[in-house]
Amino acid sequence: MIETPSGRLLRGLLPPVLVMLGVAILTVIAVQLGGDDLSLTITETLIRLTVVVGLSIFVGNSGIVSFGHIGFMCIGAYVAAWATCNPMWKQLMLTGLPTMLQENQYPFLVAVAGGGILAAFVGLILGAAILRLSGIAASIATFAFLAIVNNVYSNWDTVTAATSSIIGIPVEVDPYMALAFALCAIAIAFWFKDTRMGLMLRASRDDGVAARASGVSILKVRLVAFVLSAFVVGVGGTLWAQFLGVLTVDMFYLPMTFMTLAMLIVGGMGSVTGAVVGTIAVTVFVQLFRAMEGGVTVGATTFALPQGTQEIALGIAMALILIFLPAGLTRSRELRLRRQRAATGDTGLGAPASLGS
Amino acid sequence: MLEIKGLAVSYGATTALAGVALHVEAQEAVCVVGPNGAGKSTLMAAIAGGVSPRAGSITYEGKPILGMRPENIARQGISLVPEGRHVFGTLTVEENLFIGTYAMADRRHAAADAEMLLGYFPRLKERWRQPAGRLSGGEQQMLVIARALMTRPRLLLVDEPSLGLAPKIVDTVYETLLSLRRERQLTLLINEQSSERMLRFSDRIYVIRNGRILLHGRTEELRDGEAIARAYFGFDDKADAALEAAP
Repeated sequence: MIETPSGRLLRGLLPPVLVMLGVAILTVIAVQLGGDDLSLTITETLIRLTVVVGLSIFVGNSGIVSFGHIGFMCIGAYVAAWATCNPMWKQLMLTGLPTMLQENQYPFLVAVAGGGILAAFVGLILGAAILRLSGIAASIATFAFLAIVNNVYSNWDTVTAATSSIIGIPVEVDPYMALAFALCAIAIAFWFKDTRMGLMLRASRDDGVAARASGVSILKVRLVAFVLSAFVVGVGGTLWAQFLGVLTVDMFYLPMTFMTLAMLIVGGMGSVTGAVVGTIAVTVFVQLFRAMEGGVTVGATTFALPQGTQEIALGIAMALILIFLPAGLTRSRELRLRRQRAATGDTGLGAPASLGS
Repeated sequence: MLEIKGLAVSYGATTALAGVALHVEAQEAVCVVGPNGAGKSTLMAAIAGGVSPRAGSITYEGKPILGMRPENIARQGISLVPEGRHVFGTLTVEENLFIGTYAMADRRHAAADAEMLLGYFPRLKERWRQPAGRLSGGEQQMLVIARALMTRPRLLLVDEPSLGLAPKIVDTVYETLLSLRRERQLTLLINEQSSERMLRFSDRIYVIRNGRILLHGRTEELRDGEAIARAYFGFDDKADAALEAAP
């Protein structure tokens, strides 16, 4: 009403386009300038970015912290392993797999889709069971789910090789492939946020009583976000498997959960921009400390921080951010241009504001 | 339009409502008055499906609605404006307004309705693109009312619209509600603590205290305020008076 439809479209498209451009440009620069080592780090970061953005689809919009999403990543990763490993190896080690999987080797994209779909399906069942709970109770239930996935996958000998590694997964993911998926995840997260479902979910996060009074079925909107989020994180898992080429169950447990949540909290849980900024900021931070733990040589002497400094420093940084910037580095806002910010800014109490078309 | 009989609600061992009977006819403005803790908000929550009554019946346009989920009651055409200005703080005024229509099957009228409502609440138009959390108290109250109206309710339940607002703003809120009733055929059930305001703005009045309806009548019959004051403060009941006087 107050603006033209095309103006509205532009306003809506600008933040995702800016964020995606930013990520793409950073990736291209880093890959062009850096060596093979950096290229691996970039790929890893972009896969993590996919996972963190996927996590934010649920956590950011519902306000419920999930400790269970790395379980979806695990589910996705193992689907990729089941689909793409050498059939001879599968017939030897994973005798419990269906013959269809044992005897065939599927292409990359089939593995990716399969991982996402299985994660989404498990998310649907889990979500229907636990999303009636609110706040911390739901969070604890997701944590229990993580523990269940970890337990099942560490003991199901014939299907997951239990605690032994799965080896020989074809390595398919390079930085640009990872970038493509990360950009898709960002686009999905931005799109979902402003759909009717996304808006209803954010309304229920802000005020559950009023949301229900407005006819919002909280369970339904939470479930939709949970399934979508599980799908994206599951896809992230398949990328992880096809990046490393090797899988063990314990990759997908507490350290990974802590790291991805840290990224989300540091950047700002409430926005997609926050998930992106957080992932990049934490990665740079961790890499910096890792390098310093490795030692910096000045002249004849080498200065090195003690092992473990990185974890402690990350913990301290998180605490500081929670104290001084509880809504994260981005203050949970999306990226906007200056002019837009002025138009939406507070006009001061009582002063008549003009909002032209 | 709305018919409540023998409604009883308990929170654990505490009785919040007992044997409440109340009815609202189409296009009436009915006020429920009573002191804090009388059960006014519980009554509204029970109608809107927010609490489960122990006994009684609630019918809306001849259809029993007791036991329905809140979102389904909202879809029947009853909209609750909860006490305490429940806006969606991080969403913009625009987004707040349209939330109520997202759950509806037919949303074709939404944009036109918003336009119409902005005529009644011009301040919201000025704040259109701002997060609702940054509005003033009066603006938030108007936003919540406008949002409740976006679902095209025939019955609007307004829980304590005057709470924490400057008297002048409260008058604006009431005047807007009454013009909506007149021009949009809205029926109003309003909780109010101030008997002066309710005498000015309502057709009928229920006085509720300790979970019971103590008095009910047409506003013009209760105009002198004497009977209301007695029921409200319990002056006609010696035991209650002693209880009130105790420190």
